[in-house]
Amino acid sequence: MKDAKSVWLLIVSFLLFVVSFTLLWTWGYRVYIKTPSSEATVPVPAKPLLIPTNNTRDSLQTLYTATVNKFDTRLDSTWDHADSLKTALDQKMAEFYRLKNEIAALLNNHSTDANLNMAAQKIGELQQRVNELISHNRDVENENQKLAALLEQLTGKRKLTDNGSIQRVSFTTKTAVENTIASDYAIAELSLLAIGNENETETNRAALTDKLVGSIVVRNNHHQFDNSDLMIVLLQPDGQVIKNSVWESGVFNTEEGKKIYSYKMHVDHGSTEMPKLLFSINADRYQKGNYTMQVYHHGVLLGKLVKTLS
Amino acid sequence: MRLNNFLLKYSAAAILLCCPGYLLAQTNFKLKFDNSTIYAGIDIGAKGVKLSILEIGKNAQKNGAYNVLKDTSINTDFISFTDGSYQSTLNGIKTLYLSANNIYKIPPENIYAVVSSGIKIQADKEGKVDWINKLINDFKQAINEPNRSVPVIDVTEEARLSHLGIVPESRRYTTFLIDIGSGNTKGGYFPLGNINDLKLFQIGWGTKSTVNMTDKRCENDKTIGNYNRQLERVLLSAENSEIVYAINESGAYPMSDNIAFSGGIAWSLATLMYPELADNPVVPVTYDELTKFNERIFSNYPSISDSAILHGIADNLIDKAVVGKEIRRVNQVFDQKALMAGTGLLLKIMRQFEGVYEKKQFFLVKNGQVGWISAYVNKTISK
Repeated sequence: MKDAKSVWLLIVSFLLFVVSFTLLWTWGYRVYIKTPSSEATVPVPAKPLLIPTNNTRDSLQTLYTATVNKFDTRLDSTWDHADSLKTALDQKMAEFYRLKNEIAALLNNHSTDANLNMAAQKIGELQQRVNELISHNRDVENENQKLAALLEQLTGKRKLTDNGSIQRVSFTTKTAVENTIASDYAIAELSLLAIGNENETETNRAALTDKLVGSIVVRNNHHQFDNSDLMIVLLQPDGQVIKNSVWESGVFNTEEGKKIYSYKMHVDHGSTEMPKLLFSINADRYQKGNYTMQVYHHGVLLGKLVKTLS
Repeated sequence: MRLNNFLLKYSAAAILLCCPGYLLAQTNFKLKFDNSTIYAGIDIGAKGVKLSILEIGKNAQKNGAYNVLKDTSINTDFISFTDGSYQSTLNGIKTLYLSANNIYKIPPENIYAVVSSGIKIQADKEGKVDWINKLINDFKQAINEPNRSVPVIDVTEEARLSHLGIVPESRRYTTFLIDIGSGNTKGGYFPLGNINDLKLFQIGWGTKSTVNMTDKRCENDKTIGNYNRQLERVLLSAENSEIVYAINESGAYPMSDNIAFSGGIAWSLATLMYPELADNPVVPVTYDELTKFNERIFSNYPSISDSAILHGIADNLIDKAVVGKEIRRVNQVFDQKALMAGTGLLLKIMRQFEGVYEKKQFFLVKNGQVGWISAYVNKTISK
């Protein structure tokens, strides 16, 4: 009977020894893996990331660096051309830098997994901010391109005033209307109608045409009370200028030298409304072909259109 | 009589063959308008007789659409009232009439002849009105048209017809027309909105009289610099003594938007300043443009030669041969001094209309001397 009890006591002691050893070994391992040189692997908690801790840290660091670098390359040009959009950009940049600092602090803190999770979330947020900034930057660049084009036109006009010659303002001629902004004025809704000699109706036949009626809507870009004249040049198919009356045509200077105008229209900008100007030209005869109407102000071509009579 | 007719026809043909730009027949004229008619006007003036052949378009009254096809004159000096000047004047009229009818094929009903105010004024002064009546009757007999009307027009009627012929309907009651002649300047406008009442304007200064007065003041120093100095004094005197008063008295400033100048100096300046508008009988001009051109005439006269002006024309559609010929004609008629005098006189008149707040539109009319024909044709047709 005594022998059976001893056996059981031995078994229990052995089990206690094994458990103690296991606990001690586990504690020793945990102390050991906290050293940087350790290569041991430890099961990681199930959530939130199902990847080894060091891999997570490395990938987050890589993602963070890439995000910041990606943004930095776009930042310079955006900053250079920000101008009037600077206030909004400043706010976005402040948010970006705040997130960047927070993430850097989290990644440098080796304490807990919770910090790593938070770092991952903030990097996601940082990426979103960067995308917003890139999109914003694209808008700024587009706006800059428009402003640069306008500046080029204005510079061209100044050259005319200063030196008597201007850069060419070119337009693609279509059968429809061409509008643009140049000079002090912008024009819109150019139209040229051939009016028949019967019932004053529109026609496209040269033989039936009695007069050509044109119209333009004019806007003063500078909103100054600048009373000025628009020169209408109406070229018939053979290239000659159509003159309504010898009392209404004359000569004006352009980049290509002196030009003859068919009609001079006075623009009175005493009001803020955009005036629609009308004119009619009675030629003695009308040829078949393309009639080109050009509108000039201070020698700058504002727009033109082509009307075809068959 | 037969021999006389033969000689007349022969001399008419000879004159026209000698004229530059001779064209054999009416059908050979280079016409500008559709549905136009060709008319001839014979102006029997104090110093000579002039034939002008015009193409008048259907919109002549509306747009001032007439085209000078031919302009020929014969010096006769009728106002010397001698037998020789009488005979040469009569022969001149007959020659021009026959050339219009036989050579240019213009029917008699489209040929008009008038005796100008210059003859009438001098004949009234010298009591020689019967010379005018005799001249008219002899002319009717010579062309075998006893019922032909050859009116004697006074200075007001001359100015009225010129205004009606030159200025289009749309600008008729807003335009002051001033003709700067060689010895005087005259013109007028319609202040009451009808064509019967013309307000006449006259001053005793013209291009030639200004040149003469300036030359007189130059004495022994005939340099262009001295001429320019003396011209300024002459013009200042003219402005203070006559021009300011005459313009104010006319009342034209508040009544006119457009001031149109005709006469030789207007033709010269329009031709030299705007060669691109060689086809236009009327060109717009500003006071500043004319001031600059006046300085150019004085300081850089070679720059208004035909070669210099043609060199500056870039437009290939412009007929440089025609433009060059017209510029040479101007330079033959007006030398540097005459151009300076005429331009200076023109500027003095323009200055009276150059307000600070209200700007007038100025025009130079090239063929003002033939404008009356257009009006006379219209007046005759409407009767």
